[in-house]
Amino acid sequence: MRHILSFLIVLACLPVCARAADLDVHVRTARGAPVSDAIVTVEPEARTPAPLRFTQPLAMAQRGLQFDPFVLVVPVGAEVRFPNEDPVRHQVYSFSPTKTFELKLYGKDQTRTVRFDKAGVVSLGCNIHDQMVAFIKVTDAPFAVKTDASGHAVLHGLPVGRATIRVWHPYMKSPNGEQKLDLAIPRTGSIAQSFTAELRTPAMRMPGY
Amino acid sequence: MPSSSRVRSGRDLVRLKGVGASAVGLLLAIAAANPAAAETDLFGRDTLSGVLDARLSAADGETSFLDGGLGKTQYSGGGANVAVRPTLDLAALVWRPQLGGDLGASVTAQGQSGQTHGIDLAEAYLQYRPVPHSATRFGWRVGLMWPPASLEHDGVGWTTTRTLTPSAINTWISEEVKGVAAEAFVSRDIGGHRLSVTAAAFGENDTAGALLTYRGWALDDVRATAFGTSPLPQLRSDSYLRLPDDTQPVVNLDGRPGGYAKLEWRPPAPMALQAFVYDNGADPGAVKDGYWGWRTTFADLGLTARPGAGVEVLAQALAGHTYSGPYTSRGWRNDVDFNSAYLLATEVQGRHRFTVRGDAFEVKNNAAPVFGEHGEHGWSATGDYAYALTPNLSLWVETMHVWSGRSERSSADLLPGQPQNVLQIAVRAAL
Repeated sequence: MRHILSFLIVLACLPVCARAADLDVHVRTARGAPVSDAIVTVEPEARTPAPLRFTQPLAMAQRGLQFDPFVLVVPVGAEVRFPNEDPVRHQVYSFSPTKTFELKLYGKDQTRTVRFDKAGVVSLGCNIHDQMVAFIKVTDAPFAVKTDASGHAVLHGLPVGRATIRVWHPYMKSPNGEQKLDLAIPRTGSIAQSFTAELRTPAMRMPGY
Repeated sequence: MPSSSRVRSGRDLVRLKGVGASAVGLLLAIAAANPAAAETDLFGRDTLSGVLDARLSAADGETSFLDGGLGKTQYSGGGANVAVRPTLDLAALVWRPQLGGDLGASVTAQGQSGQTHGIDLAEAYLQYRPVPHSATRFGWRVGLMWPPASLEHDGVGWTTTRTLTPSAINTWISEEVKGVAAEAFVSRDIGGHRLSVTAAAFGENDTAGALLTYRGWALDDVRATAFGTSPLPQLRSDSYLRLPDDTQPVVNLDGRPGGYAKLEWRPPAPMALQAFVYDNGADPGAVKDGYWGWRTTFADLGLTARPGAGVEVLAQALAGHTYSGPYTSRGWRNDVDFNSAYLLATEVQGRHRFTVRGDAFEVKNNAAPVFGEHGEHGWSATGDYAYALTPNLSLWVETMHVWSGRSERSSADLLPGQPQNVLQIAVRAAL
């Protein structure tokens, strides 16, 4: 009876134990400079109906005549808020194939919402302030995180087994702006992975038409 | 005020009221007729913005051109003594109604110290700016506007944002280069580069060059208005060489259109280059209400670079030619080449902004000397500090040294070479 009880406890723990590994990612340039705003996604080979894990709020604010954040990662189907925190009106738009939309002029303290129902990259602009630019990465991967100012990101609780890791940045000099790598996620502990990314310099954004 | 100017002034005031009422009526009609009228926003809180600029200045040196002298700034000095004066430098109110769809308008009314009329129109134009659906975008503007030549005027109501006083080049653009234009714009992103072309046909700018010839280059923030005039230096009392009382920058004398074009290139690097060409197409022999036409052409190259976080470098170089009638046995009575350049560096550190700028300028007189010695050369150095007290209120301190040599000063018993120092303390409020 004691053995059966122990077996049942272990069995109950299995789903938890199987999702205990952490992935520690650093993204740097060839010269060692940190690459912030890179999106790291993990797609386990065995697609389990695991909940999507996103730590960022699903909002793209307009603040100081800029979008904030510069890069946002959201799951497919996300409703993203676009609060205007500036004292002037904005007209947010995107002509990206992933999501084409236009938010008519709206002013301070007003919010609009857009649903992103297809995976891909959405490039944002403001029709009034040409210097404003931002990107939304819409992903169907169950795990995603963005690198911080030091080019570092951590994903917790990955399921054991083989997985594909992708690193994407809007200015990365790679096909589709991303790199990918297959890894074996261990049962426990933490694994570290570094990526070297070269970024292109975008054309300068300035006020204008 | 001379009687001819008084008559013009009264007439202009009537025109100003008429044009103002007509413009508002037109905008309301457009808004009502537009199929996308549901998207109109004529008087919402976000349609209004503005700027208020109050200053305390201290200046030595010669008499300002605004007071009949040949001084290079808007402030008359007391010779070797320092003249201190408070001024409400500028009050500008910008109305940007949305007329439905992607059609909007921008109307800027301004009051400025020394302005002919208490309140006058600075800009008034319709603008169509559709949301782009590809890497190509386009738009147009129609109405009274400054051309997109200045790199320094990117603030609310066409104000400067890095220094109180614009460079000699953009001082002149602000003072004399403004007309009623139909302007189109197109840009395209190609392989990480952005190329933009702006082109316009315009009128009502037939006297551009008069101030630059008779006064020369200057460093001030006097802004041309729809119906205002700028005084010209009055150094000679004899009728042959006495200049007109003033010049009106926004005026049509001959019905001939002018044109300008701008090409901008933004490579995949933190920099942008622009080339701008202008020809007002004016008939230099045309004369109306005492104003002569000035045929003015110029080309301008501009560079914007952002080499580091918060650091920006601007540079512009301009060269041009202007001439005006009457045509005499010795050629055109007025005929000058003009050129200028500046280099500006600015850095923002939190709430602080530090800016330095150096200007050089020159006018070469091609007309017979008997018509006046309008040649000059000079330079200036400007240092500016601005502190953002709040997001809408800033404190500015600016010091400027200008030196210029102009032989024409001898006719007023002045030394040809004149230095001037100006210190300005300003409070700017954004509305």
